[in-house]
Order: sequence, then structure tokens, then C-alpha cells
Amino acid sequence: MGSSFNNWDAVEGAYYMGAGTSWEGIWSLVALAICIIALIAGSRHELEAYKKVAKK
Amino acid sequence: MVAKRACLANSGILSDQPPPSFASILQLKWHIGTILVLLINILVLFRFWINLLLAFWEGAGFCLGFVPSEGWIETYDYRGVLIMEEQLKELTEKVAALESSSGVTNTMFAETYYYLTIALMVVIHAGFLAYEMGASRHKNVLASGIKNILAFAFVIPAFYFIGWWVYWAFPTGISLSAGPNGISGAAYANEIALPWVEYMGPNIADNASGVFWGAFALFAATTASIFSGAVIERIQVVGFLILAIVLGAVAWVVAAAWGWHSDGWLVQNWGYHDFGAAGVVHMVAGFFALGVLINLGPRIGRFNADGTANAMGAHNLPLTLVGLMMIIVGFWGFLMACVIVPGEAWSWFGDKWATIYGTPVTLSALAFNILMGFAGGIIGAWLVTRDPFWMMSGALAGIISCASGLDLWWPPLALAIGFVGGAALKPAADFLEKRGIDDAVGAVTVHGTIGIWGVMAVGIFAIGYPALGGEGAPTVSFIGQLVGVIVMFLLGFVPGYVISLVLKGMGLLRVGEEAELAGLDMTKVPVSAYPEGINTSTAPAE
Repeated sequence: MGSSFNNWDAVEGAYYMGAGTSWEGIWSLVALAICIIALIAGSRHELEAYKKVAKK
Repeated sequence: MVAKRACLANSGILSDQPPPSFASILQLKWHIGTILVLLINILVLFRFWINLLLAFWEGAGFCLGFVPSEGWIETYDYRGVLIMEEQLKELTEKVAALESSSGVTNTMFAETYYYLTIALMVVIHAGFLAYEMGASRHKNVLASGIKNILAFAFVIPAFYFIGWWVYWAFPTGISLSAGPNGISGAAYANEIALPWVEYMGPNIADNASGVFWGAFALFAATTASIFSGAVIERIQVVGFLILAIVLGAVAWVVAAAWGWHSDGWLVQNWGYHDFGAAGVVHMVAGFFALGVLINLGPRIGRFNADGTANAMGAHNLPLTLVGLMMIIVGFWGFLMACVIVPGEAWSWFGDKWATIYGTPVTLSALAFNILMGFAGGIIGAWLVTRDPFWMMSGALAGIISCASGLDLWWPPLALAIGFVGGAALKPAADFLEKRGIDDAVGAVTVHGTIGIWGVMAVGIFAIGYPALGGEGAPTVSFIGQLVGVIVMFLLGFVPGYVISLVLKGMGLLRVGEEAELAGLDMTKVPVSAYPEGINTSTAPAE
């Protein structure tokens, strides 16, 4: 994590955090996991809400 | 007296010589006058003489290798040649600096251009949000809003992770091989569009990838919003989001790769022309919605047992109308993003705008034809319906009718094409309704059916135009456009139908009957849309 350079004059290409390291893949997986977990949690909440209404 | 005279004689005042004659006095005055004239001349013309002297000095200096303002310069050769060489060198440096500056300006302009299209396209989503919420009954207002907002939120990352790669990998078909322009195929896509390559994040040497990706991501989100309106008031949110991801990150992207890319096989083999995406965006999204609607079914109470339809009017028609107008505003950004800026390494031309196919276009062409199509669509819908909902939908239909050939139409023809699209709306919507399809906002009609008309209009009125830049390009034809229509229909309808069928089997497609009757806001939304009521408002969910 963090930066591998300490002078902006040396920057010529990609300069995002973790560029060219395994952090790219790790954060990609984290972002994907956020989306998938949100969908699963959202679906559970939704189905429970429908059941709750059906019981009334 | 003698002494006094002697004294005066010694001092020279008194001379023994005779007094000067008149002629000698006159001669003396002449000399004095000449001297005075010369002095006056020198004084008055001083500046002239100085300048003359300096000019001579400068000229002589050049010949001698001495520049008065710079002093002696190191020379080995004839001084005039040397000075010219130095001036040429200086001029060359200045031209290089100007070129560099001009290049930077062009790059910044291109980046800003696409950046602004993204902002404008967000207005499309603001419009769809208002449109769908207004079109819902008041018991479902916020649930419809949530669905629309989440479509945007999930399609963007899906397009980042999947869609962008698909667009660059698939133009030649499922072989994933490189196309004739060398900007397609799996190898190329792996290089520029995988989520973890250096171009997919902040990169000081790349001003293009982010804004291109952003514009395409907004196209993707637009497909999801188009689909979203058709299924309001009875679809589960998560089921809807899965469908939106399939549409926004795969289905329409494959269509774009095939028909909206210079290496696309539809373009290369059939001369398919779809400048403003009537097929690759509107048709695909519209018929995807149709595939889903077949499995989703109509809202409870929409149809009677004998098949006749009941009206389920918008709870806030003014909001819907404003939303439609906002969608149209946003489509200016959408269509603006269909243009390739000149002068960059990735541009088609150095000096003129181009379509995505590398054929010339101007923004003026778009201005003429968007506005004329827009006007024609409203007029057509007004004549047929007199209904403001269909009139504003007609405006959108007019633009979609002209979209494929916006770069080619003669503006009066654009108005006529838009008119046909606007007039066809209501009959086309009625056709679906009679077959039991409950398209809540007319999305299948406006985008799907009118999208067909837009693509085929090019195959009717623009036959023979080269579909690509350069020599030996395929030409636009009726058959080529028809093939495009069939492909776009299938790319929309098949995944929509199949995925929704799977979701239906998993119990993730339709909300429960009780929830639908009670209202989705009350069922799952923790706030109330109208707590003080415009009619009666539902209580928030726990």
C-alpha cells in the first residue's frame, strides 16, 4: 500500500495507489465482494419484508 | 593727446591702418551666416543624422560580425548566413513549443469534451428517476425510485469489471480475434480494459481511457434505466438488479461491439450503420424489457378476465413529463458522446469530427437533426393522441427514430422520420397491451419498436453511404440494416427472457401478491413519500 515514489517529477504513467502491485487484484476482489454481499443482503431484507406483509 | 593716441595704438584699438571697406564687412557677415546655417542645420536634423549613422553602424556590424545590441558574436563563417541559421533554429524551437502547446490544448479539450458528456448523461438518469416515480401509483413511488437509483449504482461497477472488456474483446464475434483495425480481440482487451491494467485508473500519460469508459458506463446505465421503467410496481429489487447487470454489462455491450465498433462484424460484413445507437442501445434495452415482461406478468388489476385493460395512471403526471424532458436533455450528451474528437492519437481525423465508424460528421449535423426529429415526434404523437404523456414520449421517439442516421439526414427528412415515430407510438403500445403485456411506461414501444424504425430508416433512405472510412468500405443497405435489427432484437430479447425465467424459478422475480396490493413503499421503504399527503400517504415500513 502507499506510494513507491517520493517526487511527482518522476511520475510518468499510472500513479494510483498500489499501481503494478497485487493490491490492484485485492481491491478489485473487495469491490466485487461489496457488490455481491450487498445484493445478497438486499435480497434477504426484501424477501423478509414480503413475508412480513403476507403474515399480516 | 599724443600720449593718449600712442596708448590706444598699443592696445590695438586705434590702428594706423585705414578703416575696413564695406565689401570686406559684407564678406565677413557671409561667413558668419554660413556657419550659423550649418549649426542650425545640424541642430535641427540631429536626429536624422544620428539615425543615419546608427543604420550605417548596424549594417556594417552585420557584415563584420558585430551586432550592436548583442556585441561581437562568435563566428566562423559569413555572418549573414549564421544569423539566418540561428533565427531558423529559434523559429523551429518556437514552432515545436507551439505544436506541443497546441497538442496539450487538444488533449485537454478532448478529455473535457467526453467528461462533460458524462455529466449530461447523468441528467438522463435524473429524468428516468422523475419519470418512473411520477408514473408509479403513490403507494409505490419511493420503491420505484430506489430501484432506479440502485440500477445506476450496480451497473457502473459491473461495467468496470466486465462490460469494458467485453466491448473491446467481442467485435469480431465469439472468436475474440483481432479485427482489421487492430483495436479489438481478447489480446487487445486484456491490454487496455481488464480492471487491473494501468489504463483503468489514474494515469498521468492517459487522458482518454477514463472519460471513454465513463461515457460508455453511462450508456450502460441508460440501458438499465430504459428497462427499469417497464417493470415498475411488481418486480423484486434484487432480481431487477441482476437483470440490469446482465443488460448493462453484457447484452448491450455485445451489441455495441458488433454494431458500434469499426471492427464490429455487423459493420465490416453488412455495412450496418447506427450512429446514435437506435439499435445497440434502444432496441436491445427495449426488447430485453419485453423478454422480462413476458415472465414477470402484468400488475394486479391491469387486465380484466376478458383481456381488456384497465388504466393505471401516473400518480404525478407533471413529474413524469418533466422527467421525460430531462431525459431528452441528457440525450444531447449521449449523442455528443457518439462523436470522435479529432487530433488525438486515437482519433480518426486530424481536422474533423468523426463517427464511431470513422466517417465524417459535424456537431451541426446533430443539432439540425436532433431538433427536427424531436419536433416531428411531438407533432406526430399530438396528432394521434392529444395526450401530453404520449407527446413527450413522442419527443423521445422522434429522436430515437432519427438516431441511427443523425449524421446523414437532411433536416426536413429528419422531421418526417421523427413524425412517423411519434405517430406510431400509441398504436404500437396498444398492440402490446392487447396481447397482455403490461409495459408501465411504454419502454418496449418507445425504445424497442421505434428503435427498429430508426435502424430501418437508414436502410430505406441512406442506402449506398460507405459504412466505414477509407477505400473499399461496405455500404449501407436495406438488408444490412435488417440483419442488424434481427441481431439487436435477439441480443435484447433472449437474455431478458432467459435470465428472468431463471429468476422466476428461483423466486427472485416478482414481489409477493400481498406486498403488491399493500404497496411496495409500505412494505420495504423506511420513509414516506408524502408524509403530509397529496392524497393519502402510506406509513413507512418498520
